[in-house]
Amino acid sequence: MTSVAHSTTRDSAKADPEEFERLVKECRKDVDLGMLRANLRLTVEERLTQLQSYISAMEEFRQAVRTAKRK
Amino acid sequence: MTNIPALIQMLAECGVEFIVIGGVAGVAHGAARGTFDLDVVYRRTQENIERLAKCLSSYSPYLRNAPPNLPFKFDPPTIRSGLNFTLDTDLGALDLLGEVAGGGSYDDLVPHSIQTRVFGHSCLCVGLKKLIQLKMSAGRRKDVEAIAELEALLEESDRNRE
Repeated sequence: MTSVAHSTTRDSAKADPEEFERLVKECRKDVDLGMLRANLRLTVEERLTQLQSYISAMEEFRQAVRTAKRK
Repeated sequence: MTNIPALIQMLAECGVEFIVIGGVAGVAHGAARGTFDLDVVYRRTQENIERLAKCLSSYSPYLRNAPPNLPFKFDPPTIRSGLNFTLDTDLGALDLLGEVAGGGSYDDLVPHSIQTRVFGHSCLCVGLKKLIQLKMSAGRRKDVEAIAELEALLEESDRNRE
């Protein structure tokens, strides 16, 4: 399983370390442990193959949106 | 579109000494967050730099997001005079790092890496603990959620080993 890596925080400069650790701690409660456990049952190659399928699917989706916008 | 298996195969078949880091390393360890590029730390020896340049020469390496038609040539002198390269290639986005914040060079990272076999090739992937350290050292806000996931993954992996 692969989730979409969207961020709720700004991709800006370095955060101050204490604030950074606080944010990490806060995000821990949102981690989907079910997905991680499912991934841990796969081999490394299966995990990377799954990532590649995700990349391909996202690319297909992007192209579909691009085409739809042109119409 | 980035072809992660093909990029790994290409580097391995050319005998390039490299360590997979970043999002792909996270996925290799079991993270669920997707990524769209391959980040590797390459060894900066003369031989490896030559292998890297020769290897990529057939895949049109070019600086990502740079204006077109720059006189950029990814050859040994360019690699020697630079350090980290963010490239687009025919196989997709490839970030080649001579050094990484919090991890140092290839030789510094080897003891913190694991040998894994993927797509018919053996390659080095940075260990999960070190990967977390690298992301912490980078201190980028965009990595906050990824670090939280990697820490949870480390706990799960440790629990599975018990």
